[in-house]
Amino acid sequence: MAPSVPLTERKIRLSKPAIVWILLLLPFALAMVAMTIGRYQISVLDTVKILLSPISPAYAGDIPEVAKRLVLQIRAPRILAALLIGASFGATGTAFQAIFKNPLVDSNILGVTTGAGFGAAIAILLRGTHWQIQISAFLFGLLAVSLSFFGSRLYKATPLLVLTLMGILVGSLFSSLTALLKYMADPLDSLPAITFWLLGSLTNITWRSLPVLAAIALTGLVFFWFLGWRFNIISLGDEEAKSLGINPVHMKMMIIFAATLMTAAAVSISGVIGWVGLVIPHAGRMMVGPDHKRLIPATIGLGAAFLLLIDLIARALLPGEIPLGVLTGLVGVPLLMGLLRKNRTGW
Amino acid sequence: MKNNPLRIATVIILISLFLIGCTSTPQGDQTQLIETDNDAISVVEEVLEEDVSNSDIDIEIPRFTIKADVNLQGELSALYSAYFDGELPVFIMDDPDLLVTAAPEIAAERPVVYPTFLPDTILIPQIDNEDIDNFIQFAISPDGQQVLIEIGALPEILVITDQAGRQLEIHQPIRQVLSAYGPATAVIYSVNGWDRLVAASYLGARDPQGAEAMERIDPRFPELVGDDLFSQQEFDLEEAAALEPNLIIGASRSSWIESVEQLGVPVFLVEAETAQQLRETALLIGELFGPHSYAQAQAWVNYFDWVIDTIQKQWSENPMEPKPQVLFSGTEPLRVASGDMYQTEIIESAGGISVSAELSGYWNDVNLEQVVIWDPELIIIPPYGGAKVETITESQEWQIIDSVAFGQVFRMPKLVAPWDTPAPDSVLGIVWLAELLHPEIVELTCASETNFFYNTFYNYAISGDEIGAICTLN
Amino acid sequence: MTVLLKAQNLSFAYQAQKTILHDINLSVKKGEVLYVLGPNGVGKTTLLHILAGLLAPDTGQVTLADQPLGTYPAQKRAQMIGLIPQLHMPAFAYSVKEMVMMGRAPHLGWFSSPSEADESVVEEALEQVGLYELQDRPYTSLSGGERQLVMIARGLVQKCHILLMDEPTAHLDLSNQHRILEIVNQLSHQGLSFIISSHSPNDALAYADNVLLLSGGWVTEYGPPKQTLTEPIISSVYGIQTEVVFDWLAGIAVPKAVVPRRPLKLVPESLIEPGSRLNQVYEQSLVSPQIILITGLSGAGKTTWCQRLAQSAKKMGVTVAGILSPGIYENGRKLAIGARDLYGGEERQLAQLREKEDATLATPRWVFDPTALEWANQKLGSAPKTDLLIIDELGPLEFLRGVGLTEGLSRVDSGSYRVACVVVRSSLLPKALQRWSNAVVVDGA
Repeated sequence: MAPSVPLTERKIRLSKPAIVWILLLLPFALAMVAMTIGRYQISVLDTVKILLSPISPAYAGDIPEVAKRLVLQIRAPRILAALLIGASFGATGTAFQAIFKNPLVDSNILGVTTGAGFGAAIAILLRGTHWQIQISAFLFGLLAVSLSFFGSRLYKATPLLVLTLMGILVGSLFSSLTALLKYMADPLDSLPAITFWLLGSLTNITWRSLPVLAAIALTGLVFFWFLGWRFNIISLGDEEAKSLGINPVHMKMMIIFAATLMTAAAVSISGVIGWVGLVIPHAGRMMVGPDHKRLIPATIGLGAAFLLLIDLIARALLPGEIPLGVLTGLVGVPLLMGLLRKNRTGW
Repeated sequence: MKNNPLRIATVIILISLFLIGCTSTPQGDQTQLIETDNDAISVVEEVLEEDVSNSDIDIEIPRFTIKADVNLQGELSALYSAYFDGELPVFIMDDPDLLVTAAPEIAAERPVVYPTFLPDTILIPQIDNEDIDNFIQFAISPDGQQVLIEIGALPEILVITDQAGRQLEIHQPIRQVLSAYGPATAVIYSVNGWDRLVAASYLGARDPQGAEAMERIDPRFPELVGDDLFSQQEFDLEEAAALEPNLIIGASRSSWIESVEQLGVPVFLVEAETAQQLRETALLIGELFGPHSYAQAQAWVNYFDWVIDTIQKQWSENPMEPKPQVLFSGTEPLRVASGDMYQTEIIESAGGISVSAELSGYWNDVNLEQVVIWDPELIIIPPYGGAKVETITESQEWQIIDSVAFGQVFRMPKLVAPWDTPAPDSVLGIVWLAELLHPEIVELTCASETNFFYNTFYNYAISGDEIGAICTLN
Repeated sequence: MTVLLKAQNLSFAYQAQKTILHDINLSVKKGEVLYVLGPNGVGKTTLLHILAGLLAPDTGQVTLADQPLGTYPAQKRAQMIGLIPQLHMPAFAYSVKEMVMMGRAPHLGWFSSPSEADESVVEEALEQVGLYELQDRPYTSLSGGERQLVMIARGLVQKCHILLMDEPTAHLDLSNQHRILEIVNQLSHQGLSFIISSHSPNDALAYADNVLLLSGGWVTEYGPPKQTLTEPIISSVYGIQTEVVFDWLAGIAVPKAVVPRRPLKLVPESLIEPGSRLNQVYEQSLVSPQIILITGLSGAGKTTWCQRLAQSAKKMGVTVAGILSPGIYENGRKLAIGARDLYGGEERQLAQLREKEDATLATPRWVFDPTALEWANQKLGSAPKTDLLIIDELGPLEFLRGVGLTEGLSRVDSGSYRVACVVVRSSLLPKALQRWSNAVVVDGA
């Protein structure tokens, strides 16, 4: 029995595949808009001309050099990074929720973000360069997940519960260590730096930050997208997956490996941006349902669009940068509440 | 130089202290040293008396003669007999060895600080004499203060309101001070209170250069430094109790105030975030340490005002001179000083405009696009937190800023306390920046003022090499 | 028919020294329904997981279509064997269609998604289990029975040859149990084999071709249900007293249900004193049929007592058979004797007061209706075995002359009851006790 639709709700109802396509195109449209917005006023027309100038410099002949550089060297890499990082958080959050059969976990369930935070903090304390901070964050992110994963292997079986518990333990360990570093840090310089890193920011993105991030993120996203539908089966648990001819252990290891690389790569550049990996999957499910065949692309699009939007606010609203970790909650919570009100469905 | 008498007196005292007390370590108790001194003198006296009795001529040979107003002679007699073991001073009207007089009006220029044993009352030696110098040093020391308190010339209890608005009653003189706040420590040094410190946290002494310079200024620095024990966040109560301070100075934002008050030692809270507060801090700490320190604090305030006025006047006398746009960047290139911060006052006092003055709070993170909009003509980075000029000048992205492309990025200098922080030294930050912003019109130079400041206020004979290293741009 | 799945000498332990399954042998043919029965925790689910290839046995081997199960690649295996686990809620509210679609996984490549063809397979399966209309509903919003049907549909789209079902009827109401099992039955006739773990011997009696009874990790019985599900076997496996209820309507005794025996409470509480002889009767009735002789003077209330006994017994769910003969009174005078069949509930007049007593006749005061007697005898004889047999009353006719309710005597003799309550006047007690020496005598007053 199809529930009768009240007259007021008989608007144009988009099919779920159509919504997925819209969600996938949304970040690109937003990116174009974001290119034209910033503290520095550049008209839409000029922005377009500037964006075309790499093809033929003639397009932007009359535009000041500073505007060109701003769009091409400052805004463009930052917007691309926001897209990649947002998409990574969205997709890895969805992936982790599927393999943990739990809609309340996010990308940090195995401690990757906390580990990366510690890595960054230690590099900041040792006065590392941006590169060194990034690499340290990335490596410690991987280390944290390895600890969780192989720690749980100490038990004969690897039930999800043990893995989750290990993730929580390793997360606590690294957050304690980070707290220790913050305690040791000079309140005049390294402490604010660590604090700001832990709140997340894309301020320091340059083109040089992008290749590694893009390589890891895009590979991971394609992998997840192709795997898409199979997340459904994984989310039913090991026994059912096995009985349906899938080796859940191998598949989960691959997913965890990919998701960890993606999250670590993203976090090492952006700093800690919580919440996206938790909430985007929910928003996605409300829009396209729980089927991962659609949910994975939907959360890729949603995550990218969401972080782009957040970062746009962070960089353009006030003269000072607003930490992303602050905005994700401030913007995301009302957004999600609105969604929850609209469709009162389960997960 | 106009501060010669004091310098000479100080040098002589230091030498004599060294000669007499060379067996004991320099950080030994000051009072003890003076007593040793007294013993030595009394031995000499006995020999003298013997000579006199032998020769049967009853002539007193005064150590030195003093010219003083009649109403000051009681105080001077008390000091004299306390220091010279019951002897009485000889007052004369003309050609004295030591002149006691009211402090002169402080000239609107680089001030001279005279030994001030009572408010607005100074001691000026007229001849070069060891006794006189020792006496002067005694008169402005806590022991001298003690004598003056006993005869009622100075109050025994100082009622004072600290910068957190708390009224305190503090027994005078204070002899053992613990400073848990770097800027306050810098003020203590520049009001001649450094020899009463038992432990302190320092500004800008964490890096090796800063620590070395600080040790040159005060050899006791390695023993005194307690940056990890005493700060705004931390306060090691056990360690503090063992040091037996009779005054603790801390920041008004310190988190430990209530627990430290349990020690039963007065806790004086300081808030020096702005130039005005820094002036108040200097005067209050001066008052705590006695008339001489107060006079020196007043001298610093006058000097500070004089520097700012001079720059302002010289700038305004040249109507064509612009006010350059300055960006004060922090430990990270994109972390900039807000309008609420002291750095903004420094920029304005030096005749510039802080582009990030519209921001509020503490350090603000901004993006490069915002810096493009600000388009600063000059970027200043601080001398701490690993900030490097190259981080900005060698960044590809920063080339979008013209001033970076033209190399207009400079690091604020420092000797110990960074010149951009609310410490007395910051007066030099203003001079340095003014010289940088208006080289044609501002006559004050980094080199001359650095030399004057450290000699006068830190009592430190800064070397030419040091001055050169500090004042040479980048 | 060919053997599809065969298990030989399986044993399995999760932890060393703690063997769950010992030496299990079984085989399943095409279209066969095998029930695995046994108490909780006996290893039924483990056995299913081994048979489905999720767990490897420690010893022994499972062969699927003559090939060792272990040699099948996971995907190939899943094309042959499907497993429907015990009902649980997935973390995410997949639609019915999406849930069923997952069954297509064994037929899809690593990175491929379901195609149009897969969609139609899914729709077909949904139609087969009658859930086509619900295909877009969230699986989590369905009732237990519907969810089980979804899982069956998922098994169907898997296009496998054997479906293993772990307690498919647990937590379902009667109609849903029936619905599920009828579909299983139907599918098995179409050639799909089933291995079903269950707690219900009755389902096995109704639907299984073969039953594997597990007890303590060992196979207790293995064979057709009618042979394996007998009172002593069930009783020993489950550790309680049970009895098999037979289907009498079929003419021959077909076992229909296995029910636990409950201790009977036959008589009003006041009669049962702790430790009294009667309590012993109830306890003993669990072992062998017991007889109670109720005696007392005429008009003492023997019949009333029997009536109350029958009523309260029926209320408690105790099956009752027998004949009650209440007096029919008019103006305080007993004019006739009725006969009530306690099993069927029918009532007739058995005897009428003579107008004039005739001492020469066998029944000086009463004229018996021969057809009514015959009817009563027939009712007594045809009533099935019941918990309680009540006969009111057996008198001189039966005991001394061998006429009247003679079937009553033989029925009491047959022991096809757990407790028989027989009203006997006190003068005939010696006669009755001679016949049933272990009977207990109760004074009806």
